[in-house]
Amino acid sequence: MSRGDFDVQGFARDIHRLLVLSTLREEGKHGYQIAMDVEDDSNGLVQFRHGTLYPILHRLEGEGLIRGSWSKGRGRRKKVYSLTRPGRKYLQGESHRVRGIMSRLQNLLQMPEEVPS
Amino acid sequence: MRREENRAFLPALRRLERRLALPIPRRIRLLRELEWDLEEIRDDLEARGVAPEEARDRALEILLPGEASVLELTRLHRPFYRKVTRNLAHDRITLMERGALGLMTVVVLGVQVAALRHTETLGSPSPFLWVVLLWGTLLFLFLLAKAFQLWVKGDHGNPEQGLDALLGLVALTLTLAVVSRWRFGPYAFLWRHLLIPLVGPPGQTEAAAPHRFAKLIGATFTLGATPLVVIGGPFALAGYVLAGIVAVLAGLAATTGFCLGCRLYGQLAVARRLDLV
Repeated sequence: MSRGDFDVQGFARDIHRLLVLSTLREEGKHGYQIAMDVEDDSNGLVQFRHGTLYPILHRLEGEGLIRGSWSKGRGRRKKVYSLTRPGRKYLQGESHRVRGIMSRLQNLLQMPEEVPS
Repeated sequence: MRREENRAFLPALRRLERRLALPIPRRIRLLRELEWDLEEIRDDLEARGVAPEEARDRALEILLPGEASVLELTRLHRPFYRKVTRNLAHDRITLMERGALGLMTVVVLGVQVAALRHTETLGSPSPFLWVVLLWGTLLFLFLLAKAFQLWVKGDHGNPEQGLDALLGLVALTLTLAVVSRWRFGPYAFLWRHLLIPLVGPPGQTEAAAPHRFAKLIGATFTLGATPLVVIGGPFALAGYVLAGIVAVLAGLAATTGFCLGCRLYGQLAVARRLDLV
């Protein structure tokens, strides 16, 4: 990442996308499972509310990073999402990029030792 | 039991359905996906010890798209037609669509008249054929326009609009003839001034009374159906059933020559002769 191209809002959106992708690393899941797993894995720090999950899922699907397939469950059709090969590659690259940003932010936020008065 | 529980999400899904300006297939897929997830998340929460009411409310809070998500989904799944016409003004698109429909109507009616000129449509198999063909064409074009609106454009605002006007027009044409005691009727007018000059008089004629009786039944049914469809709600279904009966019987008469109204007229005449009526 070059100097000055850090977009805070975009970063928040990227984090959501990455969290969704990372929950699909091991196996395919349906929407509700993804929402619950992200919430559980982040100890409640990240919560999807008011259907914000679906635009993320459908955008990722449109970009070919995840694949949605319909299957039968309890006599009903359900949509299960799984990570595609480009999705897995994207997840790796983006995780690396985000870790770099986080470490730089961490350095930035490190408090200098308080000087006794 | 499960079926009853599922109904808990139906009102919310119906409200969402109205807000999703997407073509029907995409809208159905999205709602189906959401319904499954809502049920699963509710069951999952209940399994974790959450009370059923609270589980339902929390499932809706987590998954039911809010205003921002609906807008985002609508943008994401914008139909191809909307993408192509996105730079055109709304008025211009409407004008273009109406023009295309008008042109299509003229072309289809032109083809129909050309076909009538080359067949003995007026004489056989039924004098109802050209009337049914005319209304069938208009209904077909109407349904085509509606299919375009719902399946291609994703515009779900009042999809039944116009059907009441079409039905009213059928009722009006029939009622005019009945009320004027058959002195003036649009079909008689078209028959004399358009069809006969175009395709020539029919080889054989039939008694008018049984057909008039059939038209009287048609007028009664369509006149009864129109206000029911206009009122809408649960009445609309009754209106469509009445109109459907007329459509099926007219279609039957046109294609097979079997005219139920004419048969009923014959039986009434027998009953009158036998002093039964």
